[in-house]
Amino acid sequence: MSTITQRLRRLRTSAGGIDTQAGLAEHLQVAMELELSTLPPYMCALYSIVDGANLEAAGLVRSVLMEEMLHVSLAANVLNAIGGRPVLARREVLPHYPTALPDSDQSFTVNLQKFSREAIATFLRIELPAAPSAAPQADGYHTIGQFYGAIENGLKRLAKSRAITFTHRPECQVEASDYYNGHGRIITVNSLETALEALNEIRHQGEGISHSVMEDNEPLDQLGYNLAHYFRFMEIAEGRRFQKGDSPRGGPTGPLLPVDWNAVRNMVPNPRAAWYPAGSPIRRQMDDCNACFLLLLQSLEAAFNGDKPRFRQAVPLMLELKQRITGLMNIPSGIADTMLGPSFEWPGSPA
Amino acid sequence: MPKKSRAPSPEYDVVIVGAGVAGSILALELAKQHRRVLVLEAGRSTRDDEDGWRTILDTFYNALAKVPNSPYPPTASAPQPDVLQYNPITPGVPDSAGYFVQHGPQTFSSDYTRSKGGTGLHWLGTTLRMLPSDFRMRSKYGVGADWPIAYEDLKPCYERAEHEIGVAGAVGEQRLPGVNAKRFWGDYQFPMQKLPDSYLARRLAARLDGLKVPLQGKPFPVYVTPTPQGRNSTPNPDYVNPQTGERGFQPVGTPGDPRRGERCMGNASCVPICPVQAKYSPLRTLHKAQALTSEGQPLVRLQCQAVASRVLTDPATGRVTGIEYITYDQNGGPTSTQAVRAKTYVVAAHSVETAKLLLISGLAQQSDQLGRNLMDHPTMMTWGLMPEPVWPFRGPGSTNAIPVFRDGAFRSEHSAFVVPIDNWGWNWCAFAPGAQLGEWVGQGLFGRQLRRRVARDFSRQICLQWEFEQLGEARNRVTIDPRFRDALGLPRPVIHYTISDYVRKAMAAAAGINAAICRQAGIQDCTSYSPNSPGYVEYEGKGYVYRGCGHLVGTHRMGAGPHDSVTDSWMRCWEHPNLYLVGCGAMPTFGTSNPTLTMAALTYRAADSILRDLV
Repeated sequence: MSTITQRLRRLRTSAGGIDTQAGLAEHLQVAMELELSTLPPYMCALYSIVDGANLEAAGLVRSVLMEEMLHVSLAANVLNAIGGRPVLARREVLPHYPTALPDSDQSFTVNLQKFSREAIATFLRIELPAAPSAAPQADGYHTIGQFYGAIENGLKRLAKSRAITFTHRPECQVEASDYYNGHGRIITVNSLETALEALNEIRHQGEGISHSVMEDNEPLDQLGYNLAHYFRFMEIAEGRRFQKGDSPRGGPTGPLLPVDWNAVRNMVPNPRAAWYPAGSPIRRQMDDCNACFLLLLQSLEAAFNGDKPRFRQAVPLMLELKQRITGLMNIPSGIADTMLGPSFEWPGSPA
Repeated sequence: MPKKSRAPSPEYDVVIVGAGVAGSILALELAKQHRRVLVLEAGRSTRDDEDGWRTILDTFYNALAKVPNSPYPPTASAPQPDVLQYNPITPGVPDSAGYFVQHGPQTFSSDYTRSKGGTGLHWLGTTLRMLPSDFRMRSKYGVGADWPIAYEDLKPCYERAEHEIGVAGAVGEQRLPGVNAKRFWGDYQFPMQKLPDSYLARRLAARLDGLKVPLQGKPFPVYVTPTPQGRNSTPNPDYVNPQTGERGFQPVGTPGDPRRGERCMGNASCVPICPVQAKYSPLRTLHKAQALTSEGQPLVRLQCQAVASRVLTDPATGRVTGIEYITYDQNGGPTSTQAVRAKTYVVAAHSVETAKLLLISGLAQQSDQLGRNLMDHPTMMTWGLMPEPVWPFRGPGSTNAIPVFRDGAFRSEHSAFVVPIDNWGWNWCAFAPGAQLGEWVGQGLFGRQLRRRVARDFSRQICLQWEFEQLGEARNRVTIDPRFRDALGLPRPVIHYTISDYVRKAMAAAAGINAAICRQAGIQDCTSYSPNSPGYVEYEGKGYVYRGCGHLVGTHRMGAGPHDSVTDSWMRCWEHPNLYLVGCGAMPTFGTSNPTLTMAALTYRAADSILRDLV
């Protein structure tokens, strides 16, 4: 079992950067996995909020969750266009929580946990990694910024040398008819320009934004970052909305965003199916929830590989997953006064 | 402390009464051309932020009777009719228990909503265009009235309306009777792909395959087609906006918040509320209109809780000089009356309220048509149990219909009808699931037996909705009577309503067709009509029950000349050249189409004319 951090560090490139189609494809596969790894923690936070409570905060978390799914699709589009094959429903792709995400030279731990100040602090770190202390190193990537930077350079270089083209498997492209919602938009990739546009969409909204933005006194809306995930989580952390003219450095000065940290289902951190005996009702529910998540990944993988009707199947599966997760969160875990939650394990995983 | 009345303000190009589908589209179209607009809404401001939306949803969830107005309660100062208010009418005794004062002889049992967003808040979302024949009933079938315009005149406006509403449908699967598809659609496609047909509709369609029924001696094949709908589905990448040439379509969900709002996921509560905001709401259009600015100032001002009480005119010229309105607060505080001036005035306050306001003001009465020709789609339901589980209560209210009886030579004898296939079981016809459950518990069923019964019967429920065309009749009308007033002292609508033999004959024909459908499909017919129902009528010794369909149409019909119509075909009053009456009331007939789409199309037509007038 390797964490995303380990996978990033293991990605080797030549001194000049990514220099083969296969190397680029591997990077894009990891990019997809990186985006995917954020879904379980965001889902735990979102679905632990009691129905009808924290509406604004829940709306913000939900919007980020939706866009992470968009990012998975965008990465898959680039990967397909250059002739790769997206993989999602494999044991080694599924992160093992608590997992580590890269941050500067170190990594930090991402837990499956309820909506809380700690969870939001983690989300802020996910969405805005610390500045790197060193330049990209030959032994792999230490920050997500470095990683996406290398992909962009690789795309440009390989396209220039005609080592890659962008017209592979057009039937596998996720299109606007397959995905809409949230602020982002799906970009069908069939050229270097559209590939860079797709990556730019991921970076501008999500994990790729530069740490230096925090030093900026320019208004957010002029920086084009006003919608980035980091700032949405910052609104929750500060209990205030950004308004026109606010800068990253000055923080949000808009209307209050009241957060009730107690109107939350008290999910136990990082639950495990194996805590409960095989065949017990609780274990069955944990397993069913994991099987549902796996089915979702299988549907997405099939859709990304050309079986488009499976994309539609993913929508009711998301709804079913939500029902299963909140169902678990209404069952006492047996540990202190906590409740159960989803474990996002490969079904039948050993403890 | 009494509020100070503001001096009449000259700062608007157009004042619109009513913030529903028509008022919202008008405001948007006018503001797009940099016109300054005031919208007066009698009801409260329907909140569309997350918290407000939840409140509305909770109001619906907590309502005992999930009737169309249940999420949108009225204010005391802007009362509204409600389907729970209707009773059978005793001859000679007007029923004034509800908001309407009903003289009968038949009960008018439709409602509307007085709130920001109007009745468009609880529309079903069915977007059928009218058929070319519907526009020329008099010349083609010798009944009803001809429109002053033809289908072709309205076609571009239909396309604009379908873009704004966001219609999902499959042009190629529409099999409209008597229609040349090529001429009717051109190479047009809907902005969004059709929603999946419900399982129930697919099963019924399969069982009806090959069935032909006679009507006025002619055989009619009974087939099922998907219904175009104003709810978000998958955007159609091949859609080309006929007006702009733009390809593709970006759906809108929650007004003003692209992060929220889903595609239709089959919650069956379209009427009165779509919990995921997939269904078109006029609030979307209103939000777009209110976002438009000129030199930093909003172009559209919306004032809620402002009840228009009189349209003021210059008696010499007939031109409107202002609109008087009453503002109120919801806690019973003092009201205040003021007036506002503009260049052009629009009353788009819903058929009944528009007629009422004009009647109060004593305007537009030369033709004696104002308030007359009130129409609805009297709707008869037939229900039964399918021979197999068809899983109702899933999917939007209705995804499919039997369209074949929408046109034919029989229309010289009786109404045309459209037959939507309901996805909500016996909910509307027999209060499912509560009524049946109560009955079974009353019979002593409980535990496993009860669960079995629930699974066996609810899964097989089917209901067909026979919506009959009604023609304009002078006797079906809205009037006012100074003896009946609301809390602000304004007259309440007084309704006279008769179901003519033209409709009753179609009910009898429909009952026969239903019997053939039940035989062919193996449906156990459970339909029964109680003589105690407010909608009970007889024809040739047999009884039927109709209900109101919420399609209130026809009180200020447009026409070719001032002698027999209230407005010209641009919806401009013949007698008041700067006054427009926009809404379902403008339609001289409306065939078997749910009227919202046609009203929206007419609104674009009116907007074009208003903009021309203002130049």
